[in-house]
Amino acid sequence: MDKKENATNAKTNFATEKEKVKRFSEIVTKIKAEIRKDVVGQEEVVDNVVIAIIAGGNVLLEGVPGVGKTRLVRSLGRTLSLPFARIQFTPDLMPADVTGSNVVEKTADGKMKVVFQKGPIFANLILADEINRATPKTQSAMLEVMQEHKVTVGGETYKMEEPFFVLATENPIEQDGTYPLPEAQMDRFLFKILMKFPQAQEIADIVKMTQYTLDEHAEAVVSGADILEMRELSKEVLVAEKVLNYAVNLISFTHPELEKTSSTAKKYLKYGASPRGAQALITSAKARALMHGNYNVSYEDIDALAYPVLRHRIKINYNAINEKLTVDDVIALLIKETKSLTK
Amino acid sequence: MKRKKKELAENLPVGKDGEYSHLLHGADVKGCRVEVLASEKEMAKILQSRFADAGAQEVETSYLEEAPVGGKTSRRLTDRPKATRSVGEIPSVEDMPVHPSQQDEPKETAQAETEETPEREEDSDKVGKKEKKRDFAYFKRMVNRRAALVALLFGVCCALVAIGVTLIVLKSSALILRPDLYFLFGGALAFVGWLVFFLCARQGDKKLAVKMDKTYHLGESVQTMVENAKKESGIIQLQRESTNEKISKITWKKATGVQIAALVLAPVLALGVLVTGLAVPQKVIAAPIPEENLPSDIGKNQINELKKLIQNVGSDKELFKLQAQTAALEEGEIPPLTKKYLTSLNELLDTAEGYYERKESGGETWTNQQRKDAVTAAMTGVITATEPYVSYRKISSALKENESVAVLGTSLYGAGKAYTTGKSYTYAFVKAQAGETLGTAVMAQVEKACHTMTESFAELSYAQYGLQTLGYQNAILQSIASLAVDTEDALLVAVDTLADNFGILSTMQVTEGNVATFREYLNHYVVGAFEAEAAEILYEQSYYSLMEEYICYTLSDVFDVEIPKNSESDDDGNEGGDGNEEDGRDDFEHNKFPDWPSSDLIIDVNGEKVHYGEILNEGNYAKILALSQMEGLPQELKDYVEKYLNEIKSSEKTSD
Repeated sequence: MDKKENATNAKTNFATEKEKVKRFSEIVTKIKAEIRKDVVGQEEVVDNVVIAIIAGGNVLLEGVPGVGKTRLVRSLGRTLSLPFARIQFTPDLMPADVTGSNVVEKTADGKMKVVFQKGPIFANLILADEINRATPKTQSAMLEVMQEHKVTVGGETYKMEEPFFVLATENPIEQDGTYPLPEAQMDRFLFKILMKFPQAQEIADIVKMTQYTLDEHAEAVVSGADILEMRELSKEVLVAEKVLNYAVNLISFTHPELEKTSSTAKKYLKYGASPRGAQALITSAKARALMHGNYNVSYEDIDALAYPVLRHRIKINYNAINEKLTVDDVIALLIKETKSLTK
Repeated sequence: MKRKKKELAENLPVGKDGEYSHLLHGADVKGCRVEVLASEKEMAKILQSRFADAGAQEVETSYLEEAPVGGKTSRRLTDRPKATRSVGEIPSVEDMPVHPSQQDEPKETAQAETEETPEREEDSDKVGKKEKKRDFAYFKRMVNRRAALVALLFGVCCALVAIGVTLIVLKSSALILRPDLYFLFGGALAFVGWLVFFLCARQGDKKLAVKMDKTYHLGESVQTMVENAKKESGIIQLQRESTNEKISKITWKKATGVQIAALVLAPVLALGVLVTGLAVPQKVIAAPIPEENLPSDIGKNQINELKKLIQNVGSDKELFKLQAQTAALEEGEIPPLTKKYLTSLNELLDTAEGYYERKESGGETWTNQQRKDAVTAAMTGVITATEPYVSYRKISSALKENESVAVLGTSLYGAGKAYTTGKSYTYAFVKAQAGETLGTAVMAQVEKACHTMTESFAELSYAQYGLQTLGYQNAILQSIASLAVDTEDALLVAVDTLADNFGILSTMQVTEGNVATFREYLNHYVVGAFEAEAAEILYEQSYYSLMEEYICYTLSDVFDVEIPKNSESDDDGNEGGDGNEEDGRDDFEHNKFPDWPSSDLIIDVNGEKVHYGEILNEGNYAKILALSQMEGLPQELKDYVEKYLNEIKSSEKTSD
């Protein structure tokens, strides 16, 4: 009887899971399609942003002005039909400007009462523009929310509504007068995505698209509940032991101080990624796998996501700079060395 | 194909209103899930489209397909999905209309379908499972099967190589192993080799999964599936299904050139080693050639020595003279004994020359055995020829058996071997013995015996004389009673006569008055007569004996062959105190003659180097003594010489 019941339950689960996966694929396709209406090119960026959303992590977008960072996030907000807020970080921005503060308000009967005025942070999708321009204090307030998904003001804690997602941006030029995020804080971002300058054809497409109007055409195709469901589903994606070990070794081999480490780390890195990096790698790889129609994480997923996961978590040293190696170049070397040592 | 499809479509039996009522019995298929069982794939497709047109939400088809099984054509169903809702009774196969393409094989179809029917009716689920799924388990089976076959191949190759090497080693070491042991050894090795290779090549689930992922770029899905094989969840099932689907589409990678080369080269090399082992010749350690079969050299000097010997024997005058005394010889006729000697020696010469010539012309020389046989034959011929002429040996041996006349026997033997020097005889020595030399030595021996016999009466009373003589007679007669000697033999006759004379003398009653007469008779007519006669006979026999020994020892020295033992003639010839059976040649070394004080060499009268003591044998001693007593020499000198010789004779050997 139990066996039959189990068999029936298994069949039901199977059918349910199948439905969920089907729906997951459909949603991802829709999201990408909608974003493509407003953002030209940047396929990899869009993919990684979607992965980050599904994985439940925050993203640090770095790119020169005008490549479409803000437009991307706005389109994303529209697509996800989530309350969207944009915070432009300036040096004079205060923490209260982000989180909100208590204000005294006169009631209808003339009494004064303290009312919490929510800040722009109280949205589901936050665009923190030029986060490195804010003071460390304001940055801290922002990063606290990013980490804990809650705000404490005046002794009262206010939880953020899920899904809560922060896309911060950084301008790689104009570093004067900025407050670079400390490494410990950088670790809170799931990904650091580089938005590269578009190709000529892409620029041409942008011009054509925006010649007559700058309106955004992305429509809402998914709800917050869907995102949460997708998030839960992606957590179930399977990871083989060898793949997990590969990811762990990749993180370990970024540490030059360890006895068992890579020669690349010893030569080119000052310090490596924390265990949070391993968590980020696996979580995001699961989402990516599912997005590609797979039910298990592969080496390819790990390799592809190693760049956005590691670029803000490792620090190259003078040797790398001297040899004109970028962080991505060093990550590529790390991947190659890890493969040869562990596979 | 299109034409066939059209034919099928045209020939499909239709019921009322274009519906397949005879198949569905009027069941409404709108919105239903329909299962169709068709006889052919094409018909299944057509029916699928027809039912879809009729409003069925889902149409799942299955069809009979040809599938050779064991060489026979049989039919089996493809995957037959489980029906979720019954849409009507599907008629049995016999009731189904026969398709035109099946009309040629009605029996086979009916038979095949009849065979299939019970199974189909009983449990449709089992039918689908019969088809081999190309899933992970299938590939694992394939891989391990392949590993087993390759392992078997390599195991056999190892066995062949091992057998080949063993053959080479054993054959080179001149060792031989029984053929059945090779099979046993090879079989065991093949099994062990197969086991080892199979265990190494066999792949466990995880190992195979990793390999499959890597080889076919499956994105680590197989590994993941294997790791979660014992777990169940929705996503796991999905993952498993997806992975198996990927696996089912795999095109098995063919062996690489290196693998094929290895599979071809390994047996070729193994067979090569085995063939080499079989072809290597078996080394045989030849058993040592027995010494007698070893070749023996024959040189010109040996031939020459033999010729010289033949010449010496053939031209020996004394030998001739002695034989002429007893046999009437014609002019130029060779005496019989000489002839026999020459016959034996010439036969040996012919044999030796034959082998010598063969050797000189590159052929084989004689072996040790052949040499020994040829020389021994010659010696035996000589000894056999001489035997009738040296009766002293048998007579003396017989007399020595009887204590009463032992001295006579000893003396007779001593007389026959009076020439003995204790070394090889040269022809010069032989020639020197002829005549007085040997005669004197012989006489001395005979005289000794006679003197002993006559002196034996000195201590007896007259009354005992008769007994003594009678005793002598009886003793002699008893000794020579059944001797294998010719009755006409001179020495035998002489000894017999002596016995008779003793007998005659024994009849005399001896008193004081006639004792002188008795003694006179005894000394002159009995012992004296014997002495004179025996001396002459014994000289002759002694010379023959000397010649025999000269020939035999010469042959022995030249060809290095031992002289065969002549048990009759050489029996107790010496009077050695230890009863030594050796011939008289050794008497010199064994107490007959005293050991001389040194072994210094001196030149003898023949100009040859001899040991000092050999000069002073009885013959020479007697001769020297006799010469020293000649008239004209001062008595003092005579006494001095006698004393000197006696002292030398009585000295003990003090050194070698």
